Amino acid sequence: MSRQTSTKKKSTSKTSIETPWQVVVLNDSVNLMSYVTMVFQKTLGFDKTRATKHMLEVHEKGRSVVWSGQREHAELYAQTLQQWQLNSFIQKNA
Amino acid sequence: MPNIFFKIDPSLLPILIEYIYFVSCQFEENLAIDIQFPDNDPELSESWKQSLLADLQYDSQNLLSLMSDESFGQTPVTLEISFAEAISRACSAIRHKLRYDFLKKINDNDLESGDMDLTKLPNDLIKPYTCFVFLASLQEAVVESIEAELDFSK
Repeated sequence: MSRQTSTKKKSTSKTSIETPWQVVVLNDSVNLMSYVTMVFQKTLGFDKTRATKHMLEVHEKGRSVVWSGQREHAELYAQTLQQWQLNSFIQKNA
Repeated sequence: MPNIFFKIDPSLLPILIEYIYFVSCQFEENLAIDIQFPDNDPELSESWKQSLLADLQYDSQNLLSLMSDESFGQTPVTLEISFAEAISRACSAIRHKLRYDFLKKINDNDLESGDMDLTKLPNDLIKPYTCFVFLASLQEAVVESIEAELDFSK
């Protein structure tokens, strides 16, 4: 691992402890509502009610923050949602 | 295990498989959706992309193997849960590619309705639209089965 990467990893770790990161899911015109609900249940462990709430938020408002926490975990969730073809990214908590 | 039954006109299958195979080949290098990588680190972004591509290729191969089975569309199919999940992801991915590569001329509302009159579509849109709608139906059936398993396991 290069020094530059090591430094970056240290600053990333420090940042991730101090600043929670959010996982955001954006709306798209292709994915079925039932599919998005199921994905939230499978990947984020939501029960049906909570999954449906976030799905409707994505559908009606264009986006939903589905998770918040440490950066490394946020990245993992975002990538998992992308595996399921949901448009997802991470951002720092405001 | 998820159990789905799909009845399909056998004459339609080659057309559907043709489009699904064509789109799947693009997954050698291209993702189905636009991805925002978490960093401006090119190495991390490339590694992230390659991981997603590998999953995408795996999922689409599973869909093709399902649809290439001679009993598909004629008899009920019992799917192992992880296979069912792969099928549902593949349906989403291929529908995204169909939407943005072939069906750009159709607006979102008409596409979401899923009941456009095929006789009124331009010739070049009939087959990809049929594939798009078919995959939505297949995905709905698979999702219903997966959800039943989720409810059962609680």
